[in-house]
Amino acid sequence: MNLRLILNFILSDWRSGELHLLLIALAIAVGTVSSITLTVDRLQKAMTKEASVFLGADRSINSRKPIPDQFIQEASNRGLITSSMVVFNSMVLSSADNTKSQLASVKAVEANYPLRGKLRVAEEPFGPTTETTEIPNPGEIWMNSRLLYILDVELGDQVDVGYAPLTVSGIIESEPDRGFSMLDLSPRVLMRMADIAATQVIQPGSQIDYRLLLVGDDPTFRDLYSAIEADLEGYRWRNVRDSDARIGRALERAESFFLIGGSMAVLLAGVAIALSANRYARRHFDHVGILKTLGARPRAVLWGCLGLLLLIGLIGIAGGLFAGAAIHFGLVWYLTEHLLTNVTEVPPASITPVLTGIVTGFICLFAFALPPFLDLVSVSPLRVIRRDFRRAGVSSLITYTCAITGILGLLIWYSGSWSFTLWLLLGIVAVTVTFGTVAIVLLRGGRLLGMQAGSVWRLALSGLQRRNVENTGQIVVFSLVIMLLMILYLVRSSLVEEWQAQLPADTPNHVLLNISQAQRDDVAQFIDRYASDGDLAAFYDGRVVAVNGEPVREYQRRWLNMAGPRLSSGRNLTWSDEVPANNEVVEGEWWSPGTEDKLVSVESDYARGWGLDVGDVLSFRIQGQVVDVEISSMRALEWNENAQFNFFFVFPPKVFDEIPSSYRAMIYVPDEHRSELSQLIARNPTMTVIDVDSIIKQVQSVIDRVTMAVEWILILVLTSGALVLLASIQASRDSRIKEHALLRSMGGTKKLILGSLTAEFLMLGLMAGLVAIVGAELSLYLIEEQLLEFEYATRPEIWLAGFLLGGGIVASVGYLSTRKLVRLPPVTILRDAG
Amino acid sequence: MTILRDVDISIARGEAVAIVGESGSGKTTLLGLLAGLDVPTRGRVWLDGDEISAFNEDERAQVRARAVGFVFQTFQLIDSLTALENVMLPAELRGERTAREDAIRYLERVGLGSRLKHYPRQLSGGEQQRVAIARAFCSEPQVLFADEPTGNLDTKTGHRIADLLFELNHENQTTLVLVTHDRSLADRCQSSTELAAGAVIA
Repeated sequence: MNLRLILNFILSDWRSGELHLLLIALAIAVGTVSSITLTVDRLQKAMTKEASVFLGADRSINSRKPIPDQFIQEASNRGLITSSMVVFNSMVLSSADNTKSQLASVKAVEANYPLRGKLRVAEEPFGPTTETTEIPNPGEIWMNSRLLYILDVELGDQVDVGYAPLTVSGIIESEPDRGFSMLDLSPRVLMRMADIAATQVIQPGSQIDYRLLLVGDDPTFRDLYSAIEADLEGYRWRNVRDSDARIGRALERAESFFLIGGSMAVLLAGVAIALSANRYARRHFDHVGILKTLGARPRAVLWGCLGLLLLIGLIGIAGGLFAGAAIHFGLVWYLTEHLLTNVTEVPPASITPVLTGIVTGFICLFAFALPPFLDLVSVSPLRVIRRDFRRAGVSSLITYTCAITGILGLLIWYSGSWSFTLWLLLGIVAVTVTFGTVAIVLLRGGRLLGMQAGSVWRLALSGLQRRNVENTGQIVVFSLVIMLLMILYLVRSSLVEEWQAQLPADTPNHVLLNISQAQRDDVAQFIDRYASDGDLAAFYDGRVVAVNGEPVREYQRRWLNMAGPRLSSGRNLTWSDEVPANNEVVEGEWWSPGTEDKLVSVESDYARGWGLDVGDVLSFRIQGQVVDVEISSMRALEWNENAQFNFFFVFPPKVFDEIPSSYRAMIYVPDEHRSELSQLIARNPTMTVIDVDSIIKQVQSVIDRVTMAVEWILILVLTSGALVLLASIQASRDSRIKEHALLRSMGGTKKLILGSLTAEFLMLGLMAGLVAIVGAELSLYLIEEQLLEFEYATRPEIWLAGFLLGGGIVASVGYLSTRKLVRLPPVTILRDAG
Repeated sequence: MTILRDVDISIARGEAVAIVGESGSGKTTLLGLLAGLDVPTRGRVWLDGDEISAFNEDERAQVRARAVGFVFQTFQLIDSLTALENVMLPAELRGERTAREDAIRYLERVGLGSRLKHYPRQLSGGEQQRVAIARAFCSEPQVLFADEPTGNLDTKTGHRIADLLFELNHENQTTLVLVTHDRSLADRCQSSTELAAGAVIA
């Protein structure tokens, strides 16, 4: 066949609507895959960039040793932007009054610091903060509000860092790379690298943290890493994921989700293509039969079919890429408009997603559409004489091999993981076989005699049974789609729930330290009035010195294999009359309030790890005094609960009677009460306040963004699912048209036929729903336990959703897409609609 | 586009009428209108005392269920139903209980008593058309519309089918409207109407 003939074929098929579904399926496959990969690609870059503010850079190299010039040279040679920084603790003194001094955490930076993110500064101590792109000039220093209070200095005054006199020229409240540690207690001071030499702080043996901040693109980093890898001994190469475990986990899981979502979209689209190609080919048996009687040789038909396929492919793929790009730009616009705050510009797209789309399109087309097209080649010319002449057909072995090889290759390429692909595929094969068997059993149960045209329901039921091969296929496809949707939705829900559970809305955003006995009531009152959640506890430094009279180091030696926190280390201790919130006494008994006994309650895992039991006597050294106490109870507690302080050791209050105490508070202060907090701090300047609000908000916003992206992926996958549904309903269209026309010529009313159609799809949907529910529960168990490492729990909502999705969606899509057929006047029966 | 114009015919109860004409002359369209499968853009059609051209789709369906039977050129059997089930179909649509016995009787009458459980695929073209004829008469219609009933069959089989059709028509006193381009078949009817380019010429 020549090109012109092929073109004519395509044109006439297009006009008659034969090609629409195949082209749309292909376009949606390509569109979904390319928009997902395109969006994920850019979103990942943007999110990584967004998250990179936590590092103040894209990568950093940290060490206790100075960063070698070689590293900086190698980095600059490759076009990376670099910035050096040192962090150390040093006493800062007021030059006017040398008795006022405070240990501060000094960060000395170069002019281009920070490479990612912004500094936040205040105009006046504890005042409102704004972002700035500036840093202190040489000879100047910026410091925290509370350091200004402690040193009793104002802007413009002079302070000494080591031997260097520096002018206080700004109030710094936060830097992007401050970290999330609540124990970073020393107030922050920011100055220039150029002034470091004058301080003479850097001496052999001094504890200095050297950092090299780097900004650039991933391939260059890989290149740099391999160039300096051999010399990295003693240096830590850090990326965003190391900077905050939560963000790292969120990103990783989002990637897993994108991977599952994308693979499912490819699979679904493939099924849609296979279905519509199959129908397309079947409807062309006659044409090919005619061509053959006219003398077309099989080889010519073969080339014609391939040409046809190629052309369809080109049109479908071009359409798909166009649609994919449109969806993608919509998404990117939406995401930048609503989500990205720190990054104003989304990194440019790379060419890979476009290639992914094109390759996906061709693989789908050839794996799924080629076998039915090859069937055309083997059509017998006898078909022209007898329409029902059975075709020889491409063996189903070839068909399945083609489809499986195609999908396997695609998934491996897509996921980059053999094991993931094999598991997914094994799962789907197992599901298909199981689902198919169940569907056949459901459909065959008690075959009805005749068409049962007297009643809507019986007509529907007999229709289901008469088309049981098609219907088995449809149930398998519907249930796969419903199952995939439920799985994706639920995996998404667990992901989002877990992320949000990590940072509930009232996560404490301020930590108050060094609260003296005299200040305690003021703080307690503040918590009562303004903080919606808070924990205020007494803190004592202390350590265990003996167990049952045996010195702790000797005792400890007998538990060599114990890996947890050491028994002999310094610990935070506290007292309480009541069992602390979220603690549960699991052994022994809690003391009666006001007891004078020398007792202690120990966290149960810690106690068991060290072989401690109720009744054992521990000797503590607390601020110079040694106290012997008897273990009276063990407590179990949830360490991840981050809204309160947790203690290994809790004592009755009287134990500390003669020991001066200090308090700490962890509180959530809503934005509207920040000014009251400033007043509290101003009234009690010796108190240390750590503001973790901005960090929490940053983490929250990254998590929100990832959540949103995940939801978008779900919508895209949903679209391909709906398409499969349509394609499979379309596939049974021809036999339905014939039956409807015949029934109506014999006097069947529209109502009867529409009713039975709806009923048939409803039953089909409900069966598919049932099968999908069981499949979803099983797969979720595997996915959550194995892949995402969640704890699996069966979900009752799945059952409702399965039936609603199955019955509701299949019935309405089925009804809507076949309703038109019933509208055809019954006279079509005379025109040989079959 | 006008397919039929100025067609004015009436067919009496029990009469056998042929509609003849070239391909594209409008025969099949006329049959569709007479049987209430379609309605004319202008003009009126009465069937069994009802003006079916004024009826809506479902009302016409009821008239068809009550009074009309069809035999088609392409047989129009449902592939997934056995011969017996195909014949039972019209009675089922009317909700009749005796469908099965009647269907068996008519299949025996057309000589397919031993092939009740066969599917259309397993039957020859002539046999398929017999099943279709059994289906048409089984509902004991007042009017039987046959659209080229022998068009898809070889001459010999076509003759047998035609014989069967006229025999049953005679036995049941059914009105027969036969569309054909086959003169010899048309001649077996009491009268014939010839169409050319959408108009009655004889």
